[in-house]
Amino acid sequence: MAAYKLGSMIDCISKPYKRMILQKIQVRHGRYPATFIDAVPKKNDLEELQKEGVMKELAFSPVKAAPNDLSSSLFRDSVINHFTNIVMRKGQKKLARELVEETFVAIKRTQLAKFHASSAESKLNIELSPRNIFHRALENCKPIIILTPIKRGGMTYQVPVPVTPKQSTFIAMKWLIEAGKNKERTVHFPEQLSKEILDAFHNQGRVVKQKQDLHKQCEANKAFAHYRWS
Amino acid sequence: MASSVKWSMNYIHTLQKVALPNLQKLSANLSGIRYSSTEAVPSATPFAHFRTLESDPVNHTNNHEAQFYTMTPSVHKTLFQLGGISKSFEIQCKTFQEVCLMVRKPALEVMEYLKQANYDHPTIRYILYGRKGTGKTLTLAHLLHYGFNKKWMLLHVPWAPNWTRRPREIAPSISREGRIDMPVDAAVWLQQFKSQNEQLLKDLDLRAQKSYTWSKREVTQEGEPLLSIADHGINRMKHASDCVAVILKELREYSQKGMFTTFVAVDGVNCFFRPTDVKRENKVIVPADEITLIRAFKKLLKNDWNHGAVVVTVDEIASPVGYRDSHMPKYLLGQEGFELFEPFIPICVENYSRKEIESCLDYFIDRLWIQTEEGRTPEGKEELIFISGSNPYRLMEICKSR
Repeated sequence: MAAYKLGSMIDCISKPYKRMILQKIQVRHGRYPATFIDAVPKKNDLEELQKEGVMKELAFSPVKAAPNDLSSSLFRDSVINHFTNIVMRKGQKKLARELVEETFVAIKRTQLAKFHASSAESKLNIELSPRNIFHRALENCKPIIILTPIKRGGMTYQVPVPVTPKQSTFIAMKWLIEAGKNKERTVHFPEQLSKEILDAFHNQGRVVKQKQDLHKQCEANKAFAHYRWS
Repeated sequence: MASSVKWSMNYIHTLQKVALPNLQKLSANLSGIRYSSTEAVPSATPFAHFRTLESDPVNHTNNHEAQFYTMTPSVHKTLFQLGGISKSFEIQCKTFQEVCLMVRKPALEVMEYLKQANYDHPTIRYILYGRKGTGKTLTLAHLLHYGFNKKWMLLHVPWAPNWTRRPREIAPSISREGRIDMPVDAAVWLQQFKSQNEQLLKDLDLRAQKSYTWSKREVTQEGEPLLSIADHGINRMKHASDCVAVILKELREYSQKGMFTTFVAVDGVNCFFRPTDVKRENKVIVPADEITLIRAFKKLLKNDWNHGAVVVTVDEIASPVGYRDSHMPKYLLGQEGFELFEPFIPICVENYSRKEIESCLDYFIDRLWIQTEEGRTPEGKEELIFISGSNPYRLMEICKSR
């Protein structure tokens, strides 16, 4: 049932996104029956489950094989892991991880320099943690509505449709990476990406502009909204 | 008597038990309110267990082990402006807004030996060795600072493979047939020598003991100050390599007279005894001995002179590819090098000890370098220690993105 719902939702997404999303979510060929649960790698999470009292139920349910990029490290962040996977080209995960790490270092250095240069009162307002900055930047880049081409009566209309949180996360990440790649030849990708992320964190810059433009376009095409269902 | 000693020991123990945690708490509180001050740079809290206010390496003792001492910007500029501290560490210092080195066991050990040595005897050679990223170069930097504060003459090669691997320019020597000069590198070295020893050279007022003819028109007369030879080398790069050789020779002779102590420091000395990447015009590889600079420095590494100390490091990555199978001095120096250095004092630079790594992590947290909340918890620190394998360089690298 859930899979069916998801399938119908995916139907209204534009083609390239649809392909990407279908690769991520297996709709028809789920390898595991519904009784299988996801692996819980972190000790703290297990303890929390114990506290909630869910563990008793889960104790005897079969567990899916852990994905190979899952780890029990305290520093693991699933969103950043996802972002790394999207940065990755041709399966070069090590390179992708290094690039993302370099980006975070650049953000940290920029913010620390700013921190040390500013006065005592303004120091309190400076966010130093690159992870927090990244998460907030990502939030600022997420579109809530997108356009999708729908053919009606021989005409293709750009129809505004809502997006799921997962989709909008993916789109925001993709935009950030595209912005990071749009640079001078001499500038390195992590450097540019760090600038873009910092801009997005301050709710400025190219990616946020792109999101706002898309929203404006959706607003303008409001009249076609009914083509989604009719 | 015995009971009073016992009582006082007990007293110290209780003091340590009661007072230390309180002091640490106090320091934690201080570090919490630190940023409310108007200073741009967070001040060094005197109670922070990872810091020492003793910024003079001459006074460092075993009590300061695993603590960070601050090098003043002026010393940093005079000693390491033209190399001597790795680039990644320099960037780190810039971010931290201060240059802090950890007082570590190997440096303390060498300093102890340097204090006890009899300088009328032939020079003692100390070889720092250890695995990659354990801090050989920074130990050498610490020792250089020690020598600088002791007012010793510093002859420092920041990274010897720069001469054997990728010299900026090579030219056949004009004074000796078959030798190879490195004009730019030699001039850079002279500049560094000048910056490191300018005050001392002025105070001692050293003068050339012979006259040197560089070309038909350029002559340094006997009795001219040594600084003028350095200046000549910097201005006339063509003669820079010969100027270096002359200065080293003169200083060695003065040193033997007991006018001052000379401190020779070479980082990655093992490349002096291995094939180089330098090629002549006919594509024949130049042996290290044919390079004027290296030849001049090799003479200082022998122990046929006195009033000097030689501290060198051997490093795997200083050797050319194919000679990097072990980090031990005997392998890295090869037959020739080992025979030249024998007898020497080997000093192993090891990975961080438990105390050192904890101090380092707390320093990173104090410098706001570890930003994740997990990194500040005991479990997080434990994980960082485990992943880095207590290797200083690895620790620096993995803390970057946390």
